[in-house]
Amino acid sequence: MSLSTAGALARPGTTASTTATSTTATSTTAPPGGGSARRRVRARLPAPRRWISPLVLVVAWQAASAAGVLPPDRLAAPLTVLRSAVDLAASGELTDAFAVSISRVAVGFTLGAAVGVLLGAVAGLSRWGEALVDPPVQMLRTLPFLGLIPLFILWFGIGEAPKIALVALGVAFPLYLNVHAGIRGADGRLLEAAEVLGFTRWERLRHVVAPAAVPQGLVGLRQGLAAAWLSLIIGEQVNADAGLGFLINNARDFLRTDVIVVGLLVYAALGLLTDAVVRLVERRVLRWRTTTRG
Amino acid sequence: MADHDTRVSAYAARLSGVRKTFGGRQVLAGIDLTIARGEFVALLGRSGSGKSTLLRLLAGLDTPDEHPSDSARANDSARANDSAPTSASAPTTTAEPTGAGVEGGQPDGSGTVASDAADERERSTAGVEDAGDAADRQPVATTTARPPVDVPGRVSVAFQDPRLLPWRRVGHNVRLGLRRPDADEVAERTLAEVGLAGHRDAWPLTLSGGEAQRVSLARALVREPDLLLLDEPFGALDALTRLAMHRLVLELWRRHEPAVLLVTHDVDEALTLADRVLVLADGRIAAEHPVPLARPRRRADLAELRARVLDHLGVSAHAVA
Ligand SMILES: Nc1ncnc2c1ncn2[C@@H]1O[C@H](COP(=O)(O)OP(=O)(O)OP(=O)(O)O)[C@@H](O)[C@H]1O
Ligand SMILES: [Mg+2]
Repeated sequence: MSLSTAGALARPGTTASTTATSTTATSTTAPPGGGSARRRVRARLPAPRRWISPLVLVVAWQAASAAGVLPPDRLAAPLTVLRSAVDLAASGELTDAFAVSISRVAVGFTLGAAVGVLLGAVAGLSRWGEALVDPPVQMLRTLPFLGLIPLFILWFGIGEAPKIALVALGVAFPLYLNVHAGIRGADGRLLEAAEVLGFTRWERLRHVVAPAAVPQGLVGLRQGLAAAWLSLIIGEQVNADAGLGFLINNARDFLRTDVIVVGLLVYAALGLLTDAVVRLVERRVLRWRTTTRG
Repeated sequence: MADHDTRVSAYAARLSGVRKTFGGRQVLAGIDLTIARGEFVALLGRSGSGKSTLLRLLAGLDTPDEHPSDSARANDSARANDSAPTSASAPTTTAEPTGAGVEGGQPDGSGTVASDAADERERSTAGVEDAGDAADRQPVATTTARPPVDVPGRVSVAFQDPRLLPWRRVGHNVRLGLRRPDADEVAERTLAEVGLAGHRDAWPLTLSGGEAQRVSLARALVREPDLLLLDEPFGALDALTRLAMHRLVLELWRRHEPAVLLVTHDVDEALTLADRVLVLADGRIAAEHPVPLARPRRRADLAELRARVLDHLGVSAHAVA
């Protein structure tokens, strides 16, 4: 959620793709009705009239800054933001911060996804597994995981570990829930058909259960990624000596709103990028479904 | 099906005193039925009479109630074995007198039925877990005498809904039940037989209802089953496609020579296709009608038989027709 809000601050192009994201997001559960692949590609570039209001807003923002209505210590002008983005990129500061943040997400996501998928599979595939795994996970899920930061700091100190743990935790739950539900949702009639065809346990898993769980699993992947970025942003606010959060916090101390906005934009872009990657994977993996007749 | 051990047995399937109870309600109350190898049998019966239940038992997807006294029936079975017909398409008379097993008042009636049914229910909703042992369970059913459900050969099922794996292309779906090096070739040939050669790379969800049914039929046939179970496979088709499918099934039946059990609501369909028409009512085979006519059959020749079958179907007759 906060990612989309951050995206709304961005250049018109970014705003436009945010809209595209939210519309395509609904298509994870329901196949897009009728539209051929080509039509969908074209539809991703929004109609010209959708560009008008974002452009007006940015122009108004620039005008307000130029007129002194928006002082730079509250919000820097768009052009200033652009300039400092170029500067930060040129000096390597942005790239370094970027690399640190990305690696935190990568490690945390990998850990969290592994745990989430594994537990989801265990709970989905075996009654005993479900009985043992599901209750504690459901209980933990009710805790607001971002509220665990104080505990994490006590447990893991203030280095990389609490940030990674927070990301992992944010990722694990949605993946667990969706993988579990996806496996349980496998069509019993297809399983019967597989049984009659003499499938082994492994073949049943490979040809029926796993593919049946994929759509829901991808929903979990998306939710997990959104949670990963959110956790990172929160985690990096707390205590960081490197990364995008550090860049932003540092900028705050010097009232550099331009750098703060640049940091936010990078967060937004990263969120959009990973979402786009998942969508690409989805389109490829769920090809069988996108061709559904109307 | 030449290389199969069913050579030795004269029948493709044999049910002896099969009973099935769901939650205290007896759906099958003692079914005795032998289907000869290569025989085409149609099963009629009103909705809820237990046709699908019977078919699921034959497919090994479900287990019959525990048999009260298998040993008491041992003599019976020996006799029936001798008299079982050996020629493929000769109509068999095996709606045996059900006296011994069913009406003879067995003291230990129902046994562990309820738990069994509950178990089945759970299994069907429980992902992959345990789904494997149903197939193993069947042969173990009895050790002493004739098993209540005896299907010696390979079974294929075409369900009422096509049940194709939507994430596998049509060709792959057909190939899935095959374990042989030339699976691809065989699958393609069978697809051609059902008139869908061009659809090998299509996704199942893009097929029309009739096409999907035919793919399902191809998937069942490609395994060269000894027993082909068809559960109202043409139910959802329009009249014209239905006729085309009838021709197709007969053609495939002649070529591959499986025994067929066709469950249907349609009396004309049953009479046009089958060697023998059975009527299931009150949990038993209530009537049996051999159809000693050469194919293709004309409607006019079937009129008298049709009247008799409808009569056996009783009050539901006009509704079924
Ligand atoms: N797993 C089950 N649990 C409980 N009851 C069942 C179960 N399977 C079947 N039944 C019941 O057994 C009866 C026979 O069902 P079955 O599906 O065999 O009927 P059918 O003859 O195939 O009917 P139709 O022509 O409508 O398909 C029905 O009353 C049904 O409710
Ligand atoms: Mg039925």
